[in-house]
Amino acid sequence: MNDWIAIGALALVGLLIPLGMMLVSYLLRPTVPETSKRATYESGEIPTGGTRVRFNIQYYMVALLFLVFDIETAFLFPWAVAYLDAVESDAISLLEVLGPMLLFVAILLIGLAWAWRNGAVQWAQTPRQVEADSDR
Amino acid sequence: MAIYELPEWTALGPALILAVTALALFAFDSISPRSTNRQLLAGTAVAGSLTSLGVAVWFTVAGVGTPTADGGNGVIDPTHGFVVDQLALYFMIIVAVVTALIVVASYDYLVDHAYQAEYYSLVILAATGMSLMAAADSLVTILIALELASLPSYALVAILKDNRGSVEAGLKYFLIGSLSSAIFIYGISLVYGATGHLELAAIAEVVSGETEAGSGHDITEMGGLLGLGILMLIGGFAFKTASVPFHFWAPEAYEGAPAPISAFLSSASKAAGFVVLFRVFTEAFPLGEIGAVIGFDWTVAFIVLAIVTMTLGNFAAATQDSVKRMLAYSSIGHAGYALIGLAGLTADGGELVMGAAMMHLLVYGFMNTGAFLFVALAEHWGVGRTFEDYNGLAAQAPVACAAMAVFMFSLAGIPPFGGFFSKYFLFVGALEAATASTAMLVVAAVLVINSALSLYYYSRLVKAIWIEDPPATRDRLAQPTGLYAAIIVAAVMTIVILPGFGPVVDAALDAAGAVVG
Repeated sequence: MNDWIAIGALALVGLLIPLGMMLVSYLLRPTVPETSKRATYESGEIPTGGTRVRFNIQYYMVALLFLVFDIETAFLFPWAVAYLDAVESDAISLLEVLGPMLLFVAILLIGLAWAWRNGAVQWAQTPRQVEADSDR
Repeated sequence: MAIYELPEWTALGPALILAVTALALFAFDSISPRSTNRQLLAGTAVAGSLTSLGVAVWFTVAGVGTPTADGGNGVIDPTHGFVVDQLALYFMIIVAVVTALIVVASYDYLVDHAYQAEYYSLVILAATGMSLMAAADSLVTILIALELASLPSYALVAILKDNRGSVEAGLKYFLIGSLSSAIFIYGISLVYGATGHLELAAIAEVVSGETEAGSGHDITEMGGLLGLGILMLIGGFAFKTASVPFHFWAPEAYEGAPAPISAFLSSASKAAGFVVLFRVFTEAFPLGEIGAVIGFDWTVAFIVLAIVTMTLGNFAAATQDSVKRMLAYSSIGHAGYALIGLAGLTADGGELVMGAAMMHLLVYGFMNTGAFLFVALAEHWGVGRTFEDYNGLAAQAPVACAAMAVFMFSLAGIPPFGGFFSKYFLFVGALEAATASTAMLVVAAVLVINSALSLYYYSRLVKAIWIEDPPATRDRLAQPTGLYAAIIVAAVMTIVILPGFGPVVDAALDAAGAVVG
């Protein structure tokens, strides 16, 4: 139970320090209200339009494609770490070391190829291009 | 026997064949995305599912998974986290059969549809997941297989992109699915926290106190945690099998989805949910010991769920106007019937009632798929959705309507059809289990009452089709080959399964006995 008292005290101090800093600055600072201070911060630019913007679905496509590579990395790293030891050991054949990863990458590649061929990486089109496309 | 020459991983053949088929379809679509070669796409999918079915039947006949004492090859452990026994093969057969039926039927349903290859590969991918669910015996592989079955299903429900109902159904299905997945994963983490294992057999060892003392897994202190985890697992399975308390997505999703997909979800997906449910609860949480650890037997939970699910499904179905919605609620009711299989288990027996539930799922795979495919046919004709719209269809399409009558009477459990026998076995099994717990008498009574009630709304549809007069303004009805073929095969199987019920009974009872005993 003693450990928990220490952790609780740490959490309390962790909360008190930022709250105390905010309180002190609140008491010390001069208050000069100004409209530009209340506006949404957009990297120094003057904000335009509302915040509920409709994003192009292409962003979503790119995020999904990113997932292919993301998962690939997540599994490739631990595999690469164990690879050299596995190759040197006599208990496992090269096929058993290399095969599953090649299969895995091949499956991901099929997914990527499918997305590519079905236009997931074609960047957003202007209305005129879309018209030209549908005429074909 | 020839099977000995195959390496062990080939025991997962039925699922692997489906996976390869799905990838082949994706590869084909990558090479020629605008192809309109529908015969090739549908043909590949049909060939893949039929091969999977053939291999699964062959394995069963050759004795894969049959205990060595009975002259089989024993349970095969193809790779970490999977096991191929009679139970797995039995449900792989159900999944493959339903997949083949709905792929054949989809050929006509999908005329003029923009996403042909995607549709077929998603169906086969989902079937792969369901097939793997049948063989998974670790909570991790179960979860991954379950997601592999679920994610394509969400897309399939919403595949009619321009149809508001389809998109809405897809969204609802997806939201409830993610919620129940989250609950399921949390349940897994609690079970893992309490037992320190994910493999079902290892969990069972910890639960029954077979691990050595001082190994850090003193289960008696963790009873509450484990019990909570088990309840959450039940929640996850309830979603997949469309039973109370996660049943409410079913009517929405089935009504909005393309009818072949409704058939797929309500038959194959439900069966896959049940096989995991059966396996997890019989293997990981053995009845005799679990009561001492968590303070209650999980059969109590299933007795309550079975009664509520049966009653709710059937009473809601009786009040529907839309045929598809009626079938959706009846599908919930049938999930309740199958739940009796778990409710009736006892510490030292119950393979009769569980075998009966498995038989019911097989027969259900034919009759319910057939019924939804008839709805698909009606949608193909464009006659409308309600009972009145179906009036007098028999005058114009007698063959399909005769098949529909077979499905309806079989679903209601009228004697000459397959549905009667599985329900009869469920009833007998429930009565047998009543010697151990009197609550099973209530379950058996509710089963009979609900079957009688279900006869009302099933025969209402048959009456509309056969007896009512057709409206004067209906056009001639087309006879699409694929849909007709699938419906007739399903109808024939619903009847033929009666003389062929012997082997089915044996297979189901063996499979149930293997996991219960």
